[in-house]
Amino acid sequence: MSLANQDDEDAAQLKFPKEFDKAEPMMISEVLLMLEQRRQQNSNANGLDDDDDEITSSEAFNDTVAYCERFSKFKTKEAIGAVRNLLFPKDQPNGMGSTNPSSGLHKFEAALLANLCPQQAVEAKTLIPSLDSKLDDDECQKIVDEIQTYRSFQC
Amino acid sequence: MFFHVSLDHEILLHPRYFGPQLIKTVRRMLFNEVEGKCIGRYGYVIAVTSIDNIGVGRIQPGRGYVIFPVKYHAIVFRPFKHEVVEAIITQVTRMGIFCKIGPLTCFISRHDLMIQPEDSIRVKIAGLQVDAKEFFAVGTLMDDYLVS
Repeated sequence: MSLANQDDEDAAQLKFPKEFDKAEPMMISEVLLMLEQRRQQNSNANGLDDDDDEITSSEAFNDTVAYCERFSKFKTKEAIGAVRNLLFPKDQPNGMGSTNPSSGLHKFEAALLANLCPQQAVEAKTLIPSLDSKLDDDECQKIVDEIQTYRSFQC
Repeated sequence: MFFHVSLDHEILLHPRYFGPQLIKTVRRMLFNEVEGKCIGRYGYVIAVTSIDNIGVGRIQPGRGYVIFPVKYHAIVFRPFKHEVVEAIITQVTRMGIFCKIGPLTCFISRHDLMIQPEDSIRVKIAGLQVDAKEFFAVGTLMDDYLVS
């Protein structure tokens, strides 16, 4: 129950506990989309029948919605889809066990890029140190620029 | 980071719920029991996205209660050491800053920033403490491209 059991994880080296081998990292914008859908369902269900069926949203849920609203970088479904295509090409739902063969990016790195939206290659590599060995500065800059383009061309 | 994961949970049901609404009750109890909770090494369960399977209930000998094993998918939030995240400032004290990353509270020790609650900040998670009910994070601003 202390810091001792944290030894097997380090995001900078892409070391995760084995429980997360099959987990799918999500972008903040995608989380927001799903949570909003969920909130709508709740209010519909609670409006229809007023017996004790009510599903109340937890504090964590509300905090997360507020957080996602603030930090969601992509507002439209089209933009989210485009970014997902760029960062997770030909994605297989096989969890974090492997890196994506066509982009060379680990899913965790891909989601971080979309969440933080760095503007320069150096910035991206400082925030996500594991990128340093995978991409040279030019390749990295290309991806970063492309994300910025999707970000600016949404209304 | 947010993740979509597959999880298990056991629902303990009192016999008064045995009736035509049984499955509906199990579903409702799953939502109420897991959402918003922090479970062990998986982190905070934010929202159940789908219920994949509700197993066969087993009656507990001598009690009449039934346990239903349930498999479901959920969005979880799990912070990792050395991950860079954006956070919302909640409190600025003389000891340091408190901020929230979704459901997680993070503390950053003394600083010299002009900053106030509700501002956004970029922090790196330096350490994490896990107990049964909660995560607690300590953040650092000592790296390039952090803070703003």
